[in-house]
Amino acid sequence: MITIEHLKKCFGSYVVFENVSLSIDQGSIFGLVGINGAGKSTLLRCISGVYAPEEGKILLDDEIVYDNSKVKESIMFVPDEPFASVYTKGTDLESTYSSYYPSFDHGLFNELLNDFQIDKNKRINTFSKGMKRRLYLALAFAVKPKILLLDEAFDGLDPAVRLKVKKILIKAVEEDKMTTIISSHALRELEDICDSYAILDNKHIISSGMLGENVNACFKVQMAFQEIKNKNDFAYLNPISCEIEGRVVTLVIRGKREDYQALLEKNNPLFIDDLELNFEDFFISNVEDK
Amino acid sequence: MIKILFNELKRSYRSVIIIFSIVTILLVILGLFGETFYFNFVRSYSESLGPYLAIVTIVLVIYNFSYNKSKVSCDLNFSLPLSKIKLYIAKYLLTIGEILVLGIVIGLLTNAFIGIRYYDIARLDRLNLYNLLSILACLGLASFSVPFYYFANSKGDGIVYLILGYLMLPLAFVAILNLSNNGNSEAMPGAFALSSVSIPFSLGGMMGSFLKESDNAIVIFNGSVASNMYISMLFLNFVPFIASLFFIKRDKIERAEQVDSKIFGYKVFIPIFFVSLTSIFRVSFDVGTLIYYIIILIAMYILYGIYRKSFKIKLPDLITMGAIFLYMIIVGAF
Repeated sequence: MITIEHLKKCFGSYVVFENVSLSIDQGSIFGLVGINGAGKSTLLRCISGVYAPEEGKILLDDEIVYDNSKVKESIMFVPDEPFASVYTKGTDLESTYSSYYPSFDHGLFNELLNDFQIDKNKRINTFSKGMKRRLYLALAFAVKPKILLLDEAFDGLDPAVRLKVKKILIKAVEEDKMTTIISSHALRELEDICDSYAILDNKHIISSGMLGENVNACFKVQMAFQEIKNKNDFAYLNPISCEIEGRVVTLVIRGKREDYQALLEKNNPLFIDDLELNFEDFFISNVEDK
Repeated sequence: MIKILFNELKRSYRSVIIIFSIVTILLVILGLFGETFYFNFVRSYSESLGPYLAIVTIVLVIYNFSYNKSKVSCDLNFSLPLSKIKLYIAKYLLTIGEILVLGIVIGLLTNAFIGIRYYDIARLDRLNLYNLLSILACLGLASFSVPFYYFANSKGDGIVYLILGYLMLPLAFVAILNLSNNGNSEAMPGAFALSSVSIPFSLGGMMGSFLKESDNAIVIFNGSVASNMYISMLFLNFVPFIASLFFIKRDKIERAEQVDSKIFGYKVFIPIFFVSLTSIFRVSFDVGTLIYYIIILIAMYILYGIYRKSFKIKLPDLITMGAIFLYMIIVGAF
């Protein structure tokens, strides 16, 4: 289990995030989302032990992660832009990771490379972004970590590989109880596989918990009116988000839909349509509202 | 530690072989065809192994300690299950090992060349002593250079820090002597000869100056003033590396590729460098001095530009430049 307690990270005088506290269960797939520059990658770097936090601590099974080589043997980090120097080949990375991670499975690595159609004997600076990512994902799965950290996990991957990666992830979670923390802007992809989430915005975690529970605890409706409305007309509903386009109003509200029927009709809408609320809507509602 | 060392060697062996090959091939060519080679080594003890090895030492330091100079490299190296201090020490030991191997290879090659080409083995004791001292000087140079380069935010900053580091300390030393001794700058050449980077270059000359043709080099050198001075400087060169060990754990990795605004960086190095530089010379207000002032100002501006990664100098830098300039005029006037 990963426990993050009151974490603060600064770059000089600039505070990236502060007072971040999270608890991530073993065997869960955790989606870390936020707008560009929210600090997702920085948080992942802190969890992986690359960056030292200014305040607070990160514990893996009650042991501090930062600069702890024993604990870091259980953590694998795949950054948004992985390392690829001029002379580096897949075999070099295989050698590096297998040297430092005793759990490295060469058979699985070769099998995955075969699956991803990557030649490990080629220089990786000639690879496309997607190919580099496939190579690093193969390395990450071959390490068989307890904690896998994926920054912009699906970036550059084609739909077929995305599907393969999701299947491998789910298998690793089911069989090895691997915990995965994924940061991505592909929220629909995350929704498919994540069981829990956190939204990082404005230097803080503004929402976190079980993905299904939280998304299902809200509903989205669209209403049309004869006259143009403003946001204050719906303040009594305390919506997470309120979007007005002409005479059409779209609301995301926390609560049970059936409890709000009478309240929604208070403004005499011409009609009320129930819309499906997905993770992307939920995220946008939370971020816009803040 | 041995496992880390071995892994790091595995990671870098290709590039090291390339560096080794270039140096060895160059040396073989010089050894076989260069007429001055024999005389340099055996007769006058002037610069041969020392300069070669010193240049390779700086290249190896830059190569081995660039692992914290870019974000992608930091992501790879610092996410691995390794403590920062162990990685730092392993890289240092690797650099030291490479210098030792290369120094020994070159040393043996030179012995072989002299034996083959000139059948002159009578003075090999001098050559061996020179080679040994050159290797030790380069180990000192590496120990001095590693922290200066490691704590820089980028490769460019690292190279500037190395240059400032090599010049700054002897300059500061001479400046203090100069100011306390009412403008006597006689100590200047001596101080520069003992800079970590210049020892490998000046070693041959230094030995040549006190050894006669017939002397047994090791007997003469052992216990001499030169040897005491040399050994003291050698040990002093290890101080920056040992001191740096206390700062590694607290070092912030996120500084890679950022403007280097830490206290013990450009902020302090630039003023120390220029204050020391301007304290050395007695200047007056003639045309030559005016040109000197202008050169100093331009050099300061360029260094602040390198520091800020922009030639729009900030107000604090301008104030510092102004203060140094004022100091320069005061020192020049009185």
